Amino acid sequence: MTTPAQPDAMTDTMTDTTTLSQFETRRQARRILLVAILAFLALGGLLADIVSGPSGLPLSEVLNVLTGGEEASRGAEVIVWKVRLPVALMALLVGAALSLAGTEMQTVLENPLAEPFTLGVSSSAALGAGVAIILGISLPVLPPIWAVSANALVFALMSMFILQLVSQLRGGGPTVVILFGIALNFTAGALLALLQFVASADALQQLVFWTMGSLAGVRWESIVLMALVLAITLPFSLKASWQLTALRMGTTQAQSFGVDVTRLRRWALVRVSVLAACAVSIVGVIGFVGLAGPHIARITVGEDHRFLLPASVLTGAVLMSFASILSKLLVPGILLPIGIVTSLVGLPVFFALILRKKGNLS
Amino acid sequence: MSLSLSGLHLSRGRKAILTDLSTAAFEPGQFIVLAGPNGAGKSSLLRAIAQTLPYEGQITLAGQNLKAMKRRERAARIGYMPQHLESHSDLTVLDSLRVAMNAGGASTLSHGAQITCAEELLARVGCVHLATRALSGLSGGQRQSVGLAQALARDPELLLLDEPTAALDLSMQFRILAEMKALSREGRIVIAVLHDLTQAARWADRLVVLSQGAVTADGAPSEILTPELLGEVYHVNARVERDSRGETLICVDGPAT
Repeated sequence: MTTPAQPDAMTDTMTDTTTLSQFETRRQARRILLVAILAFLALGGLLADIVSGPSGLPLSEVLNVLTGGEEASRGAEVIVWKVRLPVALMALLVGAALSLAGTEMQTVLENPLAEPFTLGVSSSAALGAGVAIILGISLPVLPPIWAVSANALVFALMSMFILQLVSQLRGGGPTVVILFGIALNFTAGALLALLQFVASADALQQLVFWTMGSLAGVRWESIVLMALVLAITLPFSLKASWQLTALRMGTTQAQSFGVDVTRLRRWALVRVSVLAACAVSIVGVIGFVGLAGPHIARITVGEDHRFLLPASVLTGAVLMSFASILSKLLVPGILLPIGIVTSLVGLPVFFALILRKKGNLS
Repeated sequence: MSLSLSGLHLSRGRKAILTDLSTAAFEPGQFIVLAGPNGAGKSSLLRAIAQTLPYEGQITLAGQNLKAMKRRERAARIGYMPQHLESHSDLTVLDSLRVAMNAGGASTLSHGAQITCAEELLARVGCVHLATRALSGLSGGQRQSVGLAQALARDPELLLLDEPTAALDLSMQFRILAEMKALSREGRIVIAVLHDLTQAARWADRLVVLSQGAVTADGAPSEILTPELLGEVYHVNARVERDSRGETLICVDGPAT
């Protein structure tokens, strides 16, 4: 895919008076600043998400509860610790996980459309949830309250395992993996439709609600699990950042630099599997963030993965956080499923950004 | 620190690309040109040496089997420039050189030293003015020159270049060929695939002509380039002339009759 000539990803120009070293130092400083701004936005999003809601707690009271102030009311404590904080934290974590997964997927599969949603991970998770909700089949040892999430996790991991197997096949390059992922998406969708066809009205309603993606009723155990998965995978992603950046110049060139591309792809897909499967199994199907987070981060800091990976994590967190706020505010008194909000509100913003960038998505 | 190839077999699917290919050792300080018709196996041979294609047989550098060499060490000792260089990335030329220095294992140079080194490399290939440009904004020739700088990023002792002058204008061709010669004189083994046999005759110390996956001729260009060889390998009627300065000129008059 060829693109129009651009002076530089960061629209920098080097004048005669600046040396290359000065130019690079300034550019790095600016990218670090941009990542810091994203971190600040994520923190702001978290606070705004905790503050927003039907019972109208002011920021001062929220801060009072969070800092363990003595004059906080019991009601405010319950609202913050049991309802608002878990939802707000989960929004950040899921956004971060989906966006990180999307970035790594887009890089290792060399395709700007690759993300957990387009490659069938989400629909497989939905199928798993459907099996639990409609057929009542789930892992035997788990308490019933975890049945749906556990099934979704197992099915999502299975879908990624199948994609892994395909990528290991002789000639199983990125294109084959993507085509297989799309086929998997349709297959899981068809099987889910079949389940819906035989489902009772109650089960059907429950499943439809699950597939819309929702942060309501999030448990602290899930938050710890999601945070752990992120904390374990992110350092490995960061460690591979030079190799991932090399892959932006194509497989052959990355190999010529000494990158073991097969191994890089395999481990990136393992990280993506765990991140996406965990996120989707906990909160349901949430599209858009895994696609838009990486692109917005790339537009912001460029393709150097040392900056792109942290920026993606933070962009995803910010997007989900603001979607969570909007899901409470769009229709007063009603908490909309967040999956609907991310797609409806996020997409126009995303396209506006891309059009400003003159459409370079590769 | 010579490079030896012996008994190389390479196939893609059922098609044999290289069959029992062996050559005399390539020595440091030599500029070697690989030539031959399309599909003769030149690019595959370079990729086998660069360890990016599986093969049977033995390739040794300074007595060390390249297959057994650690990837990181290989990346430091071998610079390879592929024939097709993708250019849709928005990475800057400078970024791409830093990636070339670090992707195969973190460079031992400091951040500042890496920038200085990148600047020197770009100066060598006449592209220092492109340092802050995005790869996606380069012309084919500029991309190729930057590709050469990328291959040199780890100061390799063996340099493998697949058609490094294919997209270059006359002036840049001269510059890059002269640079390749200079790089070999610094004690490297430089192996390049070239189609232009007149250029090969002018610059190469040694010419290896491949045909159907095997070596057909190997030696000093002035000694092996004959009308008979060109007829046999390329199926053309060709003359091998000398110009007023004694340089070899290849003139093709038409297909072999």
